[in-house]
Amino acid sequence: MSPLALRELLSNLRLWLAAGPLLALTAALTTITFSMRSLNQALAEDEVGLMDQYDATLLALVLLAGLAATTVSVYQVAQRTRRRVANLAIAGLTPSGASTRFSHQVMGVAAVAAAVGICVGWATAPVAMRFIAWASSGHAGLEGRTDAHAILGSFVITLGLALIGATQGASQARSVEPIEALKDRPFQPRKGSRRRLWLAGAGGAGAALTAVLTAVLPGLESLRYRPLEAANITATCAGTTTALLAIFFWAAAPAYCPLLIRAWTVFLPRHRLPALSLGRSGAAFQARRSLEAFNLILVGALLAGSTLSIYFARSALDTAGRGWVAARDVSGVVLAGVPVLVVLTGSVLTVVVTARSRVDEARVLRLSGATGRQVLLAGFTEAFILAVTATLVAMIGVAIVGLTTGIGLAQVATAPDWPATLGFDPVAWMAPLGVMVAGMALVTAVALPTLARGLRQPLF
Amino acid sequence: MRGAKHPLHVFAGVSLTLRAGEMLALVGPSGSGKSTLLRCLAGLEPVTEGHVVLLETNLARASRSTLAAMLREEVGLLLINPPLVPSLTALQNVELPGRLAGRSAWSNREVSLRTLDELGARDWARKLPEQLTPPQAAKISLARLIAQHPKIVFADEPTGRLSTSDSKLVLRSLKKLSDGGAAIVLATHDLHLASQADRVITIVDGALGATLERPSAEEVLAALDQTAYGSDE
Repeated sequence: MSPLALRELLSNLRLWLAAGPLLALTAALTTITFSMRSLNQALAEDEVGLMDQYDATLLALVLLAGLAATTVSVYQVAQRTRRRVANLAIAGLTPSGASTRFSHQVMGVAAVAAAVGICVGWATAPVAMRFIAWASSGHAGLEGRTDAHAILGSFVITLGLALIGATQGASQARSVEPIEALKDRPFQPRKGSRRRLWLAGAGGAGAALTAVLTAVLPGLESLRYRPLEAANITATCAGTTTALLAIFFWAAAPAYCPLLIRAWTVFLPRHRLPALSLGRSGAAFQARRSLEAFNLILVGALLAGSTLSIYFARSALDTAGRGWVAARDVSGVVLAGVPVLVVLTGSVLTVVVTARSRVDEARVLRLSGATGRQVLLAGFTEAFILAVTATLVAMIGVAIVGLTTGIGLAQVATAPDWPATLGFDPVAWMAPLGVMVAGMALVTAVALPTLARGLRQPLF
Repeated sequence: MRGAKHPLHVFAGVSLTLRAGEMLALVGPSGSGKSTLLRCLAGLEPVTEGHVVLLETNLARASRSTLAAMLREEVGLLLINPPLVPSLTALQNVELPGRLAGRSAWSNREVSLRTLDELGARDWARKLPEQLTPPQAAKISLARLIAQHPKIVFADEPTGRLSTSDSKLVLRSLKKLSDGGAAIVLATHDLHLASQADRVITIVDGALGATLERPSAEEVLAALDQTAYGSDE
């Protein structure tokens, strides 16, 4: 790496801010999740296969959350650094050079973030184990095991996630034209091309993930644990369905998100309060900003709800006769929060990165005569609309996952009277609502101070 | 001016009075301070000493909400970079001051559409600002100004990025507002535009120079030369 490239990497604050913490968090959570496999050592031999599979499914969900958050963050950083790339392009940087330079920057950030994340994971895994042991009262001997596999796996996974994000971001960097350096506002990709890019990226990621989930994991596990083969495959199918649903809703969001927002917000009394109308317009027409927040909240709500849905289906299985241990229940709940944590962190970082556009917007609104209260209310309305819309979509996804899980488990069950609606538990339904409230609170908590800062700044 | 760590003295001894229906042009070279003076007069930049009385309101004592109310109801802005809200369509941007002021949605829309029609901008009504070219955005900004019916207009280089025909349209619209009783303050390099004003004041390095009543473009140029370089002969 040349000195110029290194200086550029160190000075790209947006990239460090957006991608760094997310990748570090993903690495830490992956280390912890891997380490939780040591839980199995303390459990009965005949349950190990199912539990390995359960861990694998949850790990896949964590990775999906990390993938979504990281890809969105890196992509948006690439879009926001177009001017910087254009300045280099006008000095003679080729498109492939710009693309390579951006990829190297992302991977540099990822390497540092992975190292940090693994250190954090190493330190916190034993704490998580002790918590589970304490909560399950009876497995005091459990210990976190952060072995070489966990470290290597976390490093490879983090770099892999960064590579997917970097590939999308690099395509953005490649498309920058030198003329953009001379424009007041850089050229924006047309809506169609943006949608195609999202669909292609999400489709590729989905296909890869599906291949891993459906082929590798059940194959390995069923070879080792023959008696539980059917249940393993069912559990994996449920996880795969969740992943596919998340990817589908995520990829298709540019097409349906603005329409959905415009449809249900018709009922808001926006003609009485101009700030509601401004918030609605912000949510429906600030396409890029909205989609970033929408997707992150959506994936978080969907994953949390679906994970809990699978978890409750398993609990129903347990109630019906198959033995489960308390440690499994607690670890299930702990792991259900993991995707939420990744995604909510992503939401906050997204909003932080979009702070500039919000400050500009506050300034323009003030120039139009809006009061400070109207600007803040518009910001809150926008966050509310995005969170509610994402949650509505996520609840549909949770319902589908609950149904597929229930049907799957009922089919493999030995007792014919198990209900097909095993996954429909009120708590699973509450999870997206909880994520909605948390997401809205976080978006509001970050957006409102930003808007308030915009209000304090001079108009010119 | 406030806002910096140390007060910045840009102007001294500036005294101006503007009458209703009058068009005043501030003319000067780049960096002379005409845009800054315009912002101070509009209440967008605070002043450290002296006072600006705008429509009987002393801006130094006005609260933020009073300034906001003035911006949406009485003071119109026409800037070289049109301040359009990126998430609102062109039509919604035109309607914005009226919406914020609580005017009826129906009459507000009717006025806005009629204004867009007059300016030949109806076709872009549903476009977002990022889909507009700079001249189109300038027309939308002009439409908003007209629909707002302000009592005073502050225009900073209103023809700066426009073609000749669009510049004529802006000038015609400003004249119409002036004829309707609105006071207009222009900061411009455009000598032709300045020559259309009732009064022209030259400004160089933060100091006001000559004041001319309905001058020609040549007279403005001569006065500007005189203010900037003095009589070298």
